[in-house]
Amino acid sequence: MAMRPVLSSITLVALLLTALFAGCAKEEPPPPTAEPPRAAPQPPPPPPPPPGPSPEALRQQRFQQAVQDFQNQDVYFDFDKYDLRPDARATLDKKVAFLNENGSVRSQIEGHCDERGTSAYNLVLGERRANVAKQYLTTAGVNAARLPTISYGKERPIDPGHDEAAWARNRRAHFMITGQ
Amino acid sequence: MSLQLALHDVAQQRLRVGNNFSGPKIRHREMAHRFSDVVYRELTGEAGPFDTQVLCASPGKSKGSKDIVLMDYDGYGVRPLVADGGLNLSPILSPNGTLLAYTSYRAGNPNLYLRNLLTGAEERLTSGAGLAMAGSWSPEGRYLALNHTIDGNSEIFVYETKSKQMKRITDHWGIDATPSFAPDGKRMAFVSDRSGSPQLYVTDIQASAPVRLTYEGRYNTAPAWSPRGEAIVFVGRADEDRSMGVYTIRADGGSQNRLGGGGNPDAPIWAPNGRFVMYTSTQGGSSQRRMMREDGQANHLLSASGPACLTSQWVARTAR
Repeated sequence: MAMRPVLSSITLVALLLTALFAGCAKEEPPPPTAEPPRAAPQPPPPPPPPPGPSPEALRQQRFQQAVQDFQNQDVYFDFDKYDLRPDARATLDKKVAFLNENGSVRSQIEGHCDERGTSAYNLVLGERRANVAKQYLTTAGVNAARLPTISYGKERPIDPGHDEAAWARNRRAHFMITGQ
Repeated sequence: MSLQLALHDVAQQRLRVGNNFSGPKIRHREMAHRFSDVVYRELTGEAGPFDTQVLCASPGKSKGSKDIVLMDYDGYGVRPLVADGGLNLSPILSPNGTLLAYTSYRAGNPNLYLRNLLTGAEERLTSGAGLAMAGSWSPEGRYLALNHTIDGNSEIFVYETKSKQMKRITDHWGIDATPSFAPDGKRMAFVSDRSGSPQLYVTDIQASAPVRLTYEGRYNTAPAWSPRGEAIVFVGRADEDRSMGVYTIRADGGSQNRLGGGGNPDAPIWAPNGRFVMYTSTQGGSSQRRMMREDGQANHLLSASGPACLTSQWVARTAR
């Protein structure tokens, strides 16, 4: 009976040592490269591309990038406000350029609010945000029929956080292409 | 199961009131609520707040969806009324408990719907892109007050159920929203930002020029007019520390009183007897439903067993 605790202590020490050595064995020095670690081994280099991508492919590629930028960049607002800040106008000027370049694109403008304030009032506030963004674009010559609006109030935050940074990201007009 | 409940006056050594209930065991909570109302009436002479229900928009099964549910005021007995996997908001039930007004995004825009809960018949009251949201029913159920956005401008309307006519009440380029009827069925409180910040105003069914009610603070929204008088409960924000709170103010603009604060209070509503206020408070992403007396005393957490939902109306139980 008296031996048991000693034995288990020895076992424990042995186990700990094993664990330590196992840990040591795994800790190889990082490879002397600035490259981030890769999940998979490098695939063999692709066959050399045909002499230059076709102009059509390039155009598509540029368009897809422009679509991404158009949809990813939101127009931001101050708390309980729906007037356009200078940065909001700059963002909207880029939307105008994109919409003028791509005359068949239709985009829904979503109005959003942060989690503060009351839900019902935020729905109306979000609608105002969508509409001032739309108004800026139509004043710049974009056809209003291409820009349907919808408000989600505080129902669809893009940032789930509860601090000033999250709130600032959630007070926005968001563009979603619905047809091209 | 049978249940005997009695209220004794120990000092005077007499039975004040007693009741016998019998029924399936599953209805024990209902029996307790009904007896609580009996006691409340015995002591105050008024209808109690216990055998009551609330309407709320509750997170649905699919992501971002909300269902319209009716449940006991304490969060038990949840009964879904609208659960279509879409976003549904702001349910308001007519005084006789049959007509449910609510906002649904199912047609691609936040339109206003009216569903007859007895027949299941439903009509859409608005169409197009503009937001439409029910505010309150007049006490006799003749009018539904709502806000509807036309050409980007939200205004107050009343919908008359008999004639099916919409009558425009406000006319201003600013936000006009969330109307709440007075018990006289004529006046209504609403929010407008026509002064540059959201403030409470009062107008009436004749579309009289709105009178501004609130002057303290730069954020006063979500008015609900007491069913028993001149008090209007709302959510405001204190200028000094920017904290949000639940307030009451008289319809003549007097006696503004902060009932409670903390977190982000939303959608204060009155008990059918006008003696209690319920609201939803959110802090750090978690929501609580709370209840307090009309003077802000006895603020307490309601049962957390119900879904985290935003209650938009507190009603007497209409059907079992």
